Amino acid sequence: VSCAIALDALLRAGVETVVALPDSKLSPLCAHLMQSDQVTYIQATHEATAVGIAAGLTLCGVKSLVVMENSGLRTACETLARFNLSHGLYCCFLISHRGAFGERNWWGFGHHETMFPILRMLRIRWSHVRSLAELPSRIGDAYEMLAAGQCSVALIAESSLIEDLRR
Amino acid sequence: VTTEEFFDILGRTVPTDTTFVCSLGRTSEEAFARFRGRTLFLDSMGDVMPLACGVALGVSESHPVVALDTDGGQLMGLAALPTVAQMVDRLSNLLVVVFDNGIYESAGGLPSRSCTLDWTRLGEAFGLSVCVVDLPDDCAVALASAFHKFAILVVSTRNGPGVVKTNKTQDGIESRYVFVRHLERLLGKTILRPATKS
Repeated sequence: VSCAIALDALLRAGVETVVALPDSKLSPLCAHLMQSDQVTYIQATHEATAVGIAAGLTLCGVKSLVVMENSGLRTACETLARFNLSHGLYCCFLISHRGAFGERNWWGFGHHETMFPILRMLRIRWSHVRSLAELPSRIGDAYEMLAAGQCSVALIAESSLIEDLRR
Repeated sequence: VTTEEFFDILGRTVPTDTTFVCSLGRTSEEAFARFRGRTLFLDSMGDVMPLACGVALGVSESHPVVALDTDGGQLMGLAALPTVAQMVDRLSNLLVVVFDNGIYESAGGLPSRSCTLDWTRLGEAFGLSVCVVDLPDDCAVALASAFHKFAILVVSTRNGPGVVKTNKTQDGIESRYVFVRHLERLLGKTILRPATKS
């Protein structure tokens, strides 16, 4: 039910295509989107590929969303740097916050440490989303900001939103 | 075939409203001389094919799109192949051209690889059809059948010695604006509206 609410929020914002590399936190949402016939779901094997496809769609005026873990910022860093800083090619992200306060897995800590510096360096504006109730307005704001054509935009999915999506 | 010869054939073959996403170096200079008003010039190796896929999906299948990539660019972005392979049914309007000169020409001409590379078998590993051509007549034949289904065309190019002249006058930002205005004309809609109040 909660993933259906999230999908409804995406559809209300006009999102037509989701390009994802699922992680353990957002995989329930990805699984739901994959099975939906209301949104086009493309699963990538590398975050840079997802960014490329989404940026191409954005150029055409098609609203797309890249869904990935925050470690994907590092994987796609070169592509994002070229696109954001040299070309003005932008897209919108939903990024799970691995390594947030309360993280129990040793390998997740570095994901948090690097996330915000990379977002700042790549001039990606972001907002935290802490609940399913917040999601519709945040998504709306994200695409309004993206439409200004000045930067990429990221929604950081916090643990409380992830818990909501699992209900 | 030389890059210039291939571009001459390409210009004669593809529809006049074809949209291009182009890599850097000699390839971009040739594209700028011919297709500058409808080309996104992407100074980002490994990203040409994914971005062209997004454009091809975004303009719909009635509008042809050509990705103009290099061997170095393709080799840097091999991780895109499985993603592209799952979408081929929706990418019949996309032709990916890979100029394979076997060297990093812009970086001084050192080899792009020192191993053998079978492009056809590389594509087959992902269920993708890859056609390798090295003669002008074969290029013309391959291009004549483009845009009926997704295709990757590897063009073995030999351009001889000499430095590529830099005549391109657009940077990445200007290229984006020019490209989006082309897409707006092509699609008959406004895409960029950077403010909503005067």
